[in-house]
Amino acid sequence: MNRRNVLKMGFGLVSAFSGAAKSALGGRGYASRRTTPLTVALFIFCLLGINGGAASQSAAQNAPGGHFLWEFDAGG
Amino acid sequence: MFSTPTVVGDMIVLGSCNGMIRALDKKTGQVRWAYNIRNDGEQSQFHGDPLITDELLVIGTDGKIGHVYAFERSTGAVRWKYRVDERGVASDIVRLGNNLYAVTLADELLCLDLETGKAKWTFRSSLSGQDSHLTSSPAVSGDHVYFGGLDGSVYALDAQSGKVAWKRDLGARVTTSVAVHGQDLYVGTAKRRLHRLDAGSGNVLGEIATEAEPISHIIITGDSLLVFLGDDVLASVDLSLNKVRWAQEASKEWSSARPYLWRGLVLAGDRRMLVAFRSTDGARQWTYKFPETVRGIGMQDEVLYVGTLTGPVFAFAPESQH
Repeated sequence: MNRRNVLKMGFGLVSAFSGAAKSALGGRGYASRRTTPLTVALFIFCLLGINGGAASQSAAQNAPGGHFLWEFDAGG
Repeated sequence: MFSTPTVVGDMIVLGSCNGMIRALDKKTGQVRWAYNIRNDGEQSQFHGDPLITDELLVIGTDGKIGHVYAFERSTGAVRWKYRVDERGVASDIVRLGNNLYAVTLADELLCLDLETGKAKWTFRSSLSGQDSHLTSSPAVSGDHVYFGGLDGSVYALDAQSGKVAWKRDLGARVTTSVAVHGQDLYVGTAKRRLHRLDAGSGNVLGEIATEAEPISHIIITGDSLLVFLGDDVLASVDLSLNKVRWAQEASKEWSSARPYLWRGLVLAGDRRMLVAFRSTDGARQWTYKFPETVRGIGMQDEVLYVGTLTGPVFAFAPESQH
């Protein structure tokens, strides 16, 4: 069974913490891989107490190969 | 975030996994409007892509229940919503005239009135019991709507009446959305096969064995189709289904909702890497590393709107090939 095509059930396990919510609802088997290190940008958002709904033009880095116009943390 | 960031005029619309749908200013990323679907019941996800009309944005939601929502594009006001009690809708929404079509997670095809959101008819596949797999998105062509069921059959229904025109049993769960190209339909199944059917009769015109289960959306480009085979392979197959033209293996796994076409390139997320291949021969053109797992990729002109599984969305302008 491939991982991306499976919708895992478990709606009742949703917590208010968005990361936990994604683990419960995750679908397509990504729950275990979502515990990857947060970006500096996200870390900044967390420090600021912003859990979704924040736009930033400074947090995303420009780098060779392209440039970021803005970044938005949808929180989930 | 599972669904694809979608350009709507001068906005970009994001359906998140925390129950929020937001429209952002495309240039600045500032929120224009937002709506929390959790206020309408135990639902929190957007898996499918929206349908955009002149006035409305129509999208399905899922969870314990779900809805099909019609939001006014400019304000985010709910014009109408159609409740789906059995886990909701994870498919894309497609349109034919004044009719909308979506597939519920109970493998039921819905036909809704675009103006009112009232159901005109519904049709359920012969699936018995529950299946936790994602249902496929329907497709429309001519006077018919096509849908591949978890029961292993492809159905063609009269778009107005919902009457079954034909049914073709493919012997295993349909694992991709239906793709239409002229008079041909393409679907993949859990038997690790891609099938080409005649849209008028449902007769099988061709098929090809694949090294893994075709999944997600089949994208038609020129004289070939693009499809993910399992989590590891992105393949281009000629439309007669005689041969695989090229295939690219992910270094980790393909994490995108589908392959995306952009300026002659095929874009796909390989976990945190956004990778671009030349669509004609599969030659790798560039890669770019993101801080999170790449999922949906919206686009307009030179800008990509890259959604990630954990929520951050990036407006990103790749430079020319490097």
